[in-house]
Order: sequence, then C-alpha cells, then structure tokens
Amino acid sequence: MIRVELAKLLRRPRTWVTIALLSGLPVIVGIFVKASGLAPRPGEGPALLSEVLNNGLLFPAAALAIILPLFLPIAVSVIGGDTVAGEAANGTLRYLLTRPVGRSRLLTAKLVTVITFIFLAVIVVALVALAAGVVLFGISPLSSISATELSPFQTFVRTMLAILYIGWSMLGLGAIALFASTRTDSPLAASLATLAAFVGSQVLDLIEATESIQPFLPTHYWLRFVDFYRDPILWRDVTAGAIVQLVYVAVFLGAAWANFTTKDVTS
Amino acid sequence: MSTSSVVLTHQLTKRYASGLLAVDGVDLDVREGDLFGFLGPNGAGKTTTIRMLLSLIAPTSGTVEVLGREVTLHSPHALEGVGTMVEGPAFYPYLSGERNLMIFDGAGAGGPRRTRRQRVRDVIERVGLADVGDRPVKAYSLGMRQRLGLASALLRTPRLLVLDEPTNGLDAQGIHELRTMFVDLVRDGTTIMLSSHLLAEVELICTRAAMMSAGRIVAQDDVRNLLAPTGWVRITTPDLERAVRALQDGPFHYEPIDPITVRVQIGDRAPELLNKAFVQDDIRVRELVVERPTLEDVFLERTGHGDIR
Repeated sequence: MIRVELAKLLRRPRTWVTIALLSGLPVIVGIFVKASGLAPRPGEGPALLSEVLNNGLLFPAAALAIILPLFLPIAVSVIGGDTVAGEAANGTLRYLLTRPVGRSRLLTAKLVTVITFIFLAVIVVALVALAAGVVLFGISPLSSISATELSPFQTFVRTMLAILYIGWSMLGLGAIALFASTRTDSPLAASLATLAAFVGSQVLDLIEATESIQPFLPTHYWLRFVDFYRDPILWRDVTAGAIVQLVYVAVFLGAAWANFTTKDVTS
Repeated sequence: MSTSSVVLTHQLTKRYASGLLAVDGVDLDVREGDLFGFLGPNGAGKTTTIRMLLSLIAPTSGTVEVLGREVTLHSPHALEGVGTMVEGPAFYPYLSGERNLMIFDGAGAGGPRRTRRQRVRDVIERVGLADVGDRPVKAYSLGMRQRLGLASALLRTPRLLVLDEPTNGLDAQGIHELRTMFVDLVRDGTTIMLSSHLLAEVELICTRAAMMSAGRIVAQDDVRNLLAPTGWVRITTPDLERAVRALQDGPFHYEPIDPITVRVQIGDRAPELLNKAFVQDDIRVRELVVERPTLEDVFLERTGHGDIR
C-alpha cells in the first residue's frame, strides 16, 4: 500500500509544481542579492542570507530559512490536508477501503507520503540552492558565520543536519494536517484548519503574555536550525524542538487513528 | 441447504447520529449464483445497507457476513473476493485509465505484481476501453468512467460483485451491453448483487430480488415467485356479449373492462380449459393473457403506497 501511495504522490503533477515553486523562490532571492550586491545585514532578513555573498555553500541553509517561516508550512498543510479528505472528496476512498485496504494501513501509508513529501521538498530545495549558490556566489574555503569559521566539509555536515532538523520540524504540522484530513471530506477545509493551527502557533509565539507556553508550541524552535552552524553546535534548543515535534506527532496521529478507524465513510 | 449464502445479514440496523433510522432490521440473503436485484426508491436505505456490507459504515446493531466471513470496520478481509461499484465510479483524474486500475489492483492484498499489467489489460478490454486506456481519466465521458468502474470491480475475478446503480449515466446501448455482461458473468459463476431504483430494468435479468422501503425489506424472493400469475386471465374477444353470458353460468368471478375485453379470475386452474370452453361455444378468442404483476405492482402492493420513482 505504501508503494501505491508513493506512486500516487510522485505521479501527481501538483507535487512537483509545489516543489518547483518552493525551490524557485530562494533562487530568485539569490539572483537579486547577487545582482544588487546587497545582502541583509547580519541579524536581519532570513537567517544566514547575510553570509551567502561570500560563500555559495551557505546558500542551501539560507534557502531553507527563506521557505521555512511560511511557504514550507503552507505546502505541508496543503499536501497533508489532502491525504484522506482528498480521497474522500474524489470518491476514491470508498474504493480503496473496499479493495479492501485496512484503515490503519491506509493511514500509515498516508503518513509515509506526507513524510516523504516533506523530505523530498527540503532536499530538492537544498540541492537547487546549492547549485544556484555555487554558480552565483562561488565557493569559499572557509565559511564564516558571525565569529564561527567552518570548513567546506563541516559546512556540508551542518547543512545535512539542518535539512534533517527542518524536515523533522514539519512532522508536527504534518500530523495535525493528517488528523484534520480524517475529520472532513473537504481537502480545503483540512488544509485551512492546519494553516489556522500554524498561524495560531506563530501568533502565540510572538506575544509576551504567552511566554510560559511558548516552548510547547509546534513552531517555536523551527528557526533554531541556525544553531547547527555554531561551533560547537548548540544542541539545547534543537533537541527540545525535536522532542516537541515528537509529542505533536504522537498526539495527533493517535487522534487521527482513533477517528479514522471508527468513522462511517459516507463519501 | 443446496446453495450457500454469499451475503447474509441479520437484523442489520443503522441509526445515524442525526437520529435518522436509515436501515431497520434488515435480513438479506444473497445466494451463490444469484443475479440479485436490490430494489427500492431513492432514500430507501439501499446505499447505507450496501455500505455496511462493504465495511464502510458501522452498523448500529446487527451483523454482516460476506462470503461466509463476518465483516466489520476492523476486519474487512472477506471483501478480498468482492468487486464493488458504489455510488458511481471514482478515479484519480490526473492518471490514465490503465494507471488508475494498476493503483486499485495494487491497493490491498493485490494479485501478483508480475501479472498486474496483464490483468489490467484484460479487464479494460472486457469493458471495451482498450483504445482509450492510456488517456487520462479526466478526458473520459460519463459512460467511459462507468465502464472503467466496472473494469475496476472485475480485477482479481471476484466471486461476488456488489454494484450500486451500475447503469446510471449509460445510454440505451450501454445499458443493454451491461445487462449482457451481467448475464455472462453469472453464467461463469459470479454472483451479482445489483441495486437499482429502476424496477423494470431489474425484472429483465434478475433471478432473485429484495425490495426495500423506508429502511425495511418489504419483499425478498425468487423473481419467478414475485412475478407469479395473479390468478386472473384477460380475454379479448369480438364476441364479448356471448362470452359474458357464458361466464355468468360458470363458476368464475369476472369483470368486463371494455367492449372487447374481460378479466376472469381462474385461480390456479389451467387457462387453456377456459379457452377450450369458449371455442366450443363458438366464441372467438383473439387473445388470452395470463396476468402477472410487474415488480412495480409488487412493490406498490407491499408498501401500500404509490410513491416510487
């Protein structure tokens, strides 16, 4: 079943259009930075973008920083919200279930497709950005970020860690989307519900009054991936971020499972 | 029991959260080799019943057995021998017809991967879509989708086909082809359960039928029994006056309907004897028809109201 679901994901034009758009935006930003020679000053604009003028190898990380706050979560909400509700709206859910595909198996396969999409997206974005970065900005033997200096090999390792962390950071939202998708027969409603959860988390993360709950918000530690570019790596926040995601995944997958395995399919 | 049941429900009941009692104590019995018509007006509860048979909806109470195994939301395994078409076909519009069938074949406990393409080709050919199998489904007409839906149900050569309103959207030619295909399938040993709100259509091919109205089964029997003669014959004769005079002396209840026709209630006696008596009296019989009800008549009689679409 997982193989079938992956085939559907990979053969669907929308998947690739989404990934192309995600990859395209950082490239456009890169071209303008190169053409104008104006990078944001350190501490302003997307993380690490200030450093890419000197070193194309840092562009993948900067690219991820560009899509991370908004575009990646939107893509995850759309793809995740579509998983079950899209099959319901399309009418194909009843045909899959009467093949028969066990409901737990179908949900597992859907989860795997969401995870696959997330990592496929961040990896493609990073690869496109690497190519663009090298072409636009060249390679420098030493990456210097603030006071830290990293060799190309270290930069590569740190970028791999950042990719893994950013993909991982999307899992909580992916689980929320999957849950929302089992609650409705409208993929749009499921995606919007997920986006509402995302925006809500962002809002709560901004104001001082909610400081006590902020560490538990799904989006709170997203941008801490920059800690992988410190020397030595600052593990505290990224570890907390990874654990928070696990909790969201456990809770919302459980809810999705409890809901989907008992609900009447009338679509 | 000489033939085994392939679908057996016991007191199957569904009350939706809204309080609507959609299905109310239904005992269905579809037997091996049947071409079973599941009839009733729209909204009678046919689709809800079928969805419970296929583990899509959880019954409020009662049990479902398909191909000898109990079916619940958590154990749909008995459906491996069942091909389905429920409330119209559905596909992934961005994929070709063939690719869609590959996906459905691969979902669940599919047949071997090695022979998948061949299986898909076979069923596509069988429903007459061989020429368009590689076109995306979004370019298909309604009738083509209906055929592709049937092809999908025929994958893995099921022992039982459960088809909900399969002729929807087809033209007269398509409906005729489908009917022929059903009869062929049943001859080859498949059991078909087929729902429809078009009673006349089912009358033509079904061997057994159940009728549903307002959530309950109002009749379930061999079509032959449902359509048994009413005990009345209808005689058309240019010599009606003399015929009526002859009937006055006879034992039968009768009623003239128009200047050349009279209905005679002969019960289970042979109609040819009546014919012989008339002929001996030199009464010319132009036509003698044994009256049988239509399924529609049966339905109206059992439900006691005339609201059928």
